[in-house]
Amino acid sequence: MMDEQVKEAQQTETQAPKKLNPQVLYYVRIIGTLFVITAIVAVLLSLVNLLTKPTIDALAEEKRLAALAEVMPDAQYEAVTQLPTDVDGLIAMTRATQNGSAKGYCVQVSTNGFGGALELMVGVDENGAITGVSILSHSETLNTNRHGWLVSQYPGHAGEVLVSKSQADATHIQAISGATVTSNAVTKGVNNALKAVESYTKGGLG
Amino acid sequence: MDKTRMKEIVLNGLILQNPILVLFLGMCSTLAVSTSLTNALGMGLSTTMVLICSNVVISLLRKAIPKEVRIACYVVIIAGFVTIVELCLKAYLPALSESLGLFIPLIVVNCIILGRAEAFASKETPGYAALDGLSMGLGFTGALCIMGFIRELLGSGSILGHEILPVKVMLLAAPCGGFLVLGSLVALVQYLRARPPKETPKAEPEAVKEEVAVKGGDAQ
Repeated sequence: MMDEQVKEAQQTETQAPKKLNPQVLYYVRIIGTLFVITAIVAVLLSLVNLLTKPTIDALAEEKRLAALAEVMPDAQYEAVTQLPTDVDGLIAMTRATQNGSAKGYCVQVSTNGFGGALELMVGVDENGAITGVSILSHSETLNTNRHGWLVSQYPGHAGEVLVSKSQADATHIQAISGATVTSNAVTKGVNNALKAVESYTKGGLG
Repeated sequence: MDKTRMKEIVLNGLILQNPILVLFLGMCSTLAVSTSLTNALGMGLSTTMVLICSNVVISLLRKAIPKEVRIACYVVIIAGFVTIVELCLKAYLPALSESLGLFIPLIVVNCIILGRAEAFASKETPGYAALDGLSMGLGFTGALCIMGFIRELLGSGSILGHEILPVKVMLLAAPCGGFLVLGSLVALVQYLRARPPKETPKAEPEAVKEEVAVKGGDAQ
């Protein structure tokens, strides 16, 4: 009797740590599998990124140059090195000149749209009036035609632009189908660009 | 591989269990990108690519993935392939990538892909899984293209960007037009599915119908 009891006790004792093991193994297996899969996917993605990045960057640069020519045509462009620091989302500024005389600025800004970052190129002439707006990259759900219609409303505006759901006038642009997220985002970017030009020229940097 | 089984998988994907017209999966992107034929084709082929790759990989890993974390693993694998497709589109087909915009990254949450992973690829061998991915993907692409063709032709009066018709029904290019076209197509497919073929004996179509009904229930 005694012997059996002791044996049983010993068995449960030796089993106790062993019982833990399958449980630990189980968690290790779950976490390990997920980790390994994630790691492999991450490595694969970085490889693909490495392969496609030069092409994507070249396309973005091509697009940037096309946008410069679109918002401020027939000019020579020169990058501004000292950017104003008090403007949200300012990426780059380009000074545009024509035959040596100043023509205005092209401002590249980023703003938050419906689906994430939205990058704009805004042309502003010497008098602070908008000469053109071009969308460089976006994650919006609208198609390109309607973007074209939206940005075509900005040229000519000077000073802060506001968004109207019903009608465009001297200070307002009309939002797409009364839906304001993208229109607000673009307008905010345009206003930031105007602010950047103002701050740059008034700050004596220009 | 068994030939009748292969035939069944192909038929299921293309018509009998068409992801859009019968299973009603991936509705969000369907209604959004079917405004033009080019967009529909681009979206369909991107999804097919992701579907085949994720089906094969998930089928290969079906014994290694613990069932408690299978959904997380599937989502990581699917997201990986979607990002690869997205980067490739951005680099090599920038115009298409721009017009599809947000809907390419949204393939990750397209129910068709997770649905096929869970209902098919996780139980079958890689060969069948690849075939299922291909036929489901082509079924998706086909239905999208028919919708895109109708909506572009009647809504914008053009095909592949070339103006053809002088009359435009703006309603069809708008989101509600997507619902109308989809509804009509679904009705047509249901009619064709419900109509028993004339020359075959009556018992056979009934058996097929029952099988489809059971499988349709599974996939939900």
